[in-house]
Amino acid sequence: MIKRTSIIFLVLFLCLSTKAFPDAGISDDYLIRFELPFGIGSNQTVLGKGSYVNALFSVESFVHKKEDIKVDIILPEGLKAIAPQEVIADSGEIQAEFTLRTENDIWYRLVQLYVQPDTLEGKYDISYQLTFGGKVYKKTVSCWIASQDYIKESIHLLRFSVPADKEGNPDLKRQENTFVIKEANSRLLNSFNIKKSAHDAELIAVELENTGKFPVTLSLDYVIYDKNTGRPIEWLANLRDEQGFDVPGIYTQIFLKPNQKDVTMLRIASQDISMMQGDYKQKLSIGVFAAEGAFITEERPLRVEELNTTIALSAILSVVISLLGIVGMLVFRSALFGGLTSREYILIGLYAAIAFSLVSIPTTIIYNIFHALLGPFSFLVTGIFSEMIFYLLLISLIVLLPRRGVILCFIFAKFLLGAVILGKITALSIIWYPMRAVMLEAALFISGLYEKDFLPLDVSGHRKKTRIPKSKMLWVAFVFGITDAFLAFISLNITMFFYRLFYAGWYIWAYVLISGFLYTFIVVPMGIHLGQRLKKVAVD
Amino acid sequence: MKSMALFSPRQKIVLILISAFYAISTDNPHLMGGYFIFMVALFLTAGVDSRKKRVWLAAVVLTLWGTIFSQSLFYAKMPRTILFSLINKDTPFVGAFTGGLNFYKEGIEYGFIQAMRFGITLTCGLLVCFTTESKDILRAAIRLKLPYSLSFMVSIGLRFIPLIVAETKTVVSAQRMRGFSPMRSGLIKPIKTARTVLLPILVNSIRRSSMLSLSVESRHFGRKQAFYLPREKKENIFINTALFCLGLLIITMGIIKAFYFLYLSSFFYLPELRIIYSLAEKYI
Repeated sequence: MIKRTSIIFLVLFLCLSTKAFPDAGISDDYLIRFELPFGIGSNQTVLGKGSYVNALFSVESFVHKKEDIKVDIILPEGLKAIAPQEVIADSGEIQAEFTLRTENDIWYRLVQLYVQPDTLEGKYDISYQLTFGGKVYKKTVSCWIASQDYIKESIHLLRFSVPADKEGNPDLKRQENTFVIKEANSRLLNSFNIKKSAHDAELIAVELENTGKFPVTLSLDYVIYDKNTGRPIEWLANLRDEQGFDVPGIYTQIFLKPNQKDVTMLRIASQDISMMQGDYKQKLSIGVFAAEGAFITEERPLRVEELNTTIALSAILSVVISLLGIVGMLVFRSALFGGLTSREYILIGLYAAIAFSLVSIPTTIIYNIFHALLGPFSFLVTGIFSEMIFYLLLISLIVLLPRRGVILCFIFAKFLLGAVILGKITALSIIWYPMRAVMLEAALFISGLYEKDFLPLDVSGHRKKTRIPKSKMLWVAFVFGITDAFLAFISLNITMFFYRLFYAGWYIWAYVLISGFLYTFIVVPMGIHLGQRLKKVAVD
Repeated sequence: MKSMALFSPRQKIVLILISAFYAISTDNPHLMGGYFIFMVALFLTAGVDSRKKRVWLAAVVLTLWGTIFSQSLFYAKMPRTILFSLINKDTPFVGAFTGGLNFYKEGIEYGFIQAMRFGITLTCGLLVCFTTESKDILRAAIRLKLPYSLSFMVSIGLRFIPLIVAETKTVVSAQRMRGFSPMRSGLIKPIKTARTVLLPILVNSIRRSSMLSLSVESRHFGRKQAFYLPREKKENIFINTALFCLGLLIITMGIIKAFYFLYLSSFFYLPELRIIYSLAEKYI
């Protein structure tokens, strides 16, 4: 795996232009590159005594002709070539002969070097020579050698800011060590595989200082761990795989000249963030590039907050609708209630009492029992009382009294009965009941149930005293079904918002479809039938 | 001395409202637990009889368990540890649909903490309900400017609930004698049967409404708002002060929470409010 990814990386590397490697040697016809250690690009670094490093030597042809080439690399004292054996003339010299056959043909070798522990600290030159077609091309590259302790002591982590702003400063507008993700684990939108984030990217700033006398290239590794298992989180591992690395985490290099400090930004693109809210561990590891092991590590807790806009918007929407409902009821009080006769008030009061007796009380008792037995799936049973019988009563009342304001009175009276008798006053019910009243009044308006022309006319132009046509009945059922589905959705969301509860996306859909739409859709035609039968009694 | 004897019905309504908003304005388990214990203490010292105490206990325990149950299944925070799987994610259809349904260890604790919110409102509601006559609460609500038409409907409802319950029992007994058994045959059948149960009760209600309307209109109802509200006892000033302070505290907590939410979601930030953010994060 390591070998394969190294080769892919190497080939990609070799495809880059010479501009990316200003230190690369260019003869008229050939591009020669010597990277020590391999992967460092145009940077330079100090090598630690006693360490193993890989160097890359490559030659690329720019001419369309066959050419035999000879390479000689002379290593300074203190550097010893280990592998591959095919190119080692002696431990201090590397020699190779090869043929480039055509334009863009490349020859390359990764040479493993050993920095001998007894080497003196300082700057060393590595010279290499290319011989082809009677021409000789020579170049020298420099490297520095120092003890590993010296390197460690000269590198200082000045700052590790999570999150950071675009300038690399700590983002004071946001909470420290916190990522904010939006809909990353959305209960609803995840069903459609839609993920968005609150920010374009989460930025992490690392400020480092090199107080030593040698240039150094450092590798930075940032990993997020599961607090319980201690394993890197899955999405980071996947992200890393795509990049062709083996260590799960975000990785970058930083080059520091002697007595220089610099800020490096680690960026996690928001579309890549796929993590659940909660508490994690984050770890930053810093080591010398191409050397084994990190010498600075910092581990901190990381909190991931989810900004679920669906829930927040539902809560805001419900509060707004409720306020509108209450204000509207107060402002248009006479228009809404003024036309109601005392008989109608009494009838609504009695209906509310029936609803309370047959819906609220059984629901309160049954809900608690079934909630304990079936947990979140109790709605399948309790929905029969809370939804079906409620709508049976409501629709029959509307058929009896097809006027605006009736639903409002009925729902408020039922709520107040619950409040007065059972003490059922919660913040949620204060928001929920006015909103429900407003939405159902709107549904009543859309369904046209209180319009004069709801019943078909006969040939003489009189209202037929027949049953409401099936198509109209289905239309009313559909409108109330959709409205109740919307109300069910809002209800779950505001419960999640105010009571900080969790529900899975599929559960919300199941609840909305079954308890919200299906139960209501089934029962509305029955309610119309019941209302029509009762109307005969009322007329009699 | 009975704790709730000090409260007037109006103060009790205010207490319910305060408790309701308190329950949703804090995330601090200690603050929530503390208030829950305070409510339980009020309940236990309110002189409620043992049967009602058992009802309260059963309701609280069932609510706690129900919330713990659902939150253990849907707990969506890290870290989380699977205790056991109800539906494996590899189960055909259901597994793919749900993505697996597991019982999470951390969800138990989380569910318990969140259930305290319900515990607070439930205990407070039952406390007021068990220690106050419904008509007194309704009078207090009218004094709190409840629209007269609504209070009239509620009064009618209150007056007729016992009658409706008795009628329902009679109709259900009659239906049972004819073989009615709810929940026996699917979803539609019980509803159809329920319709037949409802019909006589609703017919009676319609007839009753006609008679009642004649009765109230003959007493000049609706022409002028004239109703008698007995003079209320003088309210305890200390309770009023305590409720006022508690109300103020909850409004402050709500505002702090709102600012913290805006800060956390990167909608609004003011450096001057950092102390508020810190307060919200650590204590509220």
